Amino acid sequence: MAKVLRDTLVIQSRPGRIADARQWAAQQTRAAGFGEDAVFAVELALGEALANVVEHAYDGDEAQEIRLTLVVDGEKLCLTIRDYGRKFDQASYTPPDLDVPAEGGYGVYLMHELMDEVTYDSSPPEGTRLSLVKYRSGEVHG
Amino acid sequence: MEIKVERNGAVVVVAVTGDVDAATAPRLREQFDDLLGEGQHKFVIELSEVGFMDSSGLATLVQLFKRVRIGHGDVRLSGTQPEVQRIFELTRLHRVFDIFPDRAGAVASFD
Repeated sequence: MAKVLRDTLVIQSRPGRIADARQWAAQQTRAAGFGEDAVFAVELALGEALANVVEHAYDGDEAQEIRLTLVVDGEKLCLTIRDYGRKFDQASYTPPDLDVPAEGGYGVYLMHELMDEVTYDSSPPEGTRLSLVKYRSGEVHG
Repeated sequence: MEIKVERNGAVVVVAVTGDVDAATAPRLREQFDDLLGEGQHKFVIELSEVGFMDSSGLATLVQLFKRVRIGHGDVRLSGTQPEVQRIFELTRLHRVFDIFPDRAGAVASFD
């Protein structure tokens, strides 16, 4: 049975901390044996997720907390982003029209393009638990 | 992130170094605002030293593009690294911006 790796990182909801979290996730993904395509996907998807938490869930309040949990096993990598702010309204989300250049709205779209699974769990009493999953098989089958 | 501005006649080259993300894109936007305020409308954005760009960076470039287009200007990109190029392709913005291998070619394209 493949070894299970698990790590956590807690950051404050400041834009300046997003790069630190990206680098942490990239390092962990690389160490878990994923290729550079997956490292890029995890890094960018996490950056987009955190930017949305900082701007929308916490409305720019930089004193709040975001908890990141990364679990890797023989099958996949799962990165969970837990915030305690305003819940993400999935019903109001519409993907961007890629035929029209837009000044925003690409973040969630990119997360879905880059990761194998993107799941918003709004069931906690406070905030949202966002899970980003990348399968190892994606390395083989693209 | 560092920003260097060079003027080549009517063309202004904005050379960016480092990550363009939610933390740094506002500074790039301010730089663009200043240059637009000077009346600049022909831009080359040199990205060969940018290894990471997220949707905040894309949004900043699209905003500049839309503003200069009003005055019949243009924004051309140069030196995009493979990972940055991939973001442009995923969002299909590579069809909006003319992307050149190097800044000299991008500047010359305005002649």
